[in-house]
Amino acid sequence: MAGPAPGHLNDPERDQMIDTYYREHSRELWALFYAMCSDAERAYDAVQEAFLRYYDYHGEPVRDLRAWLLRVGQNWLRDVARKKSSSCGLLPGLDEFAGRRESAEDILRLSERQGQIRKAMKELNDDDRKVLVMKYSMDWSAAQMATVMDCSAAAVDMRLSRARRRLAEVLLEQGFEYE
Amino acid sequence: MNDSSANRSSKQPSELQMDSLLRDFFALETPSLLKQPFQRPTMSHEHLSHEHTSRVAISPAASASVSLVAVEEPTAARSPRNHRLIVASAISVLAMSLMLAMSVQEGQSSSSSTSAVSVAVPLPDSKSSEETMNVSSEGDQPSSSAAVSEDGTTQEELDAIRVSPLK
Repeated sequence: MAGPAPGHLNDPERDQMIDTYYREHSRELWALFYAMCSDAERAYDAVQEAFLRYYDYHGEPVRDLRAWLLRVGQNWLRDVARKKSSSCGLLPGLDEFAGRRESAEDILRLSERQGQIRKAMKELNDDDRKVLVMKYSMDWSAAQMATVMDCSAAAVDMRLSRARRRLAEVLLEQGFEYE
Repeated sequence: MNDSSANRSSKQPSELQMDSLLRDFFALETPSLLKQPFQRPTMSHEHLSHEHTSRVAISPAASASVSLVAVEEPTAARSPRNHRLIVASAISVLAMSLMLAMSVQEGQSSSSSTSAVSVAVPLPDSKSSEETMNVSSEGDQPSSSAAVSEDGTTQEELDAIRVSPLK
């Protein structure tokens, strides 16, 4: 996925290229960052940070924009993790439900469920988390995942099944109740 | 132990349940903001750093009245890094002033100690050394007649004294 070399394009062209690239790849980048930190908001911030830095970047032409953005976002996530800055947001995930029609109890219950699953996801190892993110967040097929993971589609299915089972076990230990 | 494992496996959700749970989870977890286009900064950082005062734009349509269109608060857009820089520079200024105060205090105490010494050994006064000395009109010419000591010895007599080693 080699990106163009927008460092030398005119500004309107460059802006348009960044817009297009953001539209097409921000979701995927978010998912990859999410797989690293298990924090939706932080992963989103990492995407924004990476694109903003690219927007301000006027150095050598970037050969592989995806790799460049990934590296910038990844470094930013590492910096944040090192500083352990505690963000003062709303209750985790609660802001996502703002403006919805459900009752306050329903919203709270849903938010708690999200929090429990998020916590359980953090307990998984990197491989399990990545495979779940690729499947459920990026909506990749087994064949696509097999290419990335350098294994067969059947092996991907096995890994997925194992990751789901491990997640279910962690949730069970947490006392998670299925609806 | 067998009971607990059996109990666990009975509580274990099906693959389908987990599949649905994960789909719902990620659907909610993905920020809706990602669907929006990339929001690039409207003002560059350089511009923000230069413009500290509130900007008041005058509406061209208004013929006699001046309308306040926008008041910018660039301080709100400052990054935390800037705040840290300000705090760091304030701390360094405080530290420097403290060090300066301490050195001045030390200087005062040391000067008082030297003055105590100077009581015993008075330093030559630079002012008095600059003043003209009382020299006779004859300069350094030997004065033959004038007595230089209390017993009436003249300068000539003093000059005539020759010191020779004892044999």
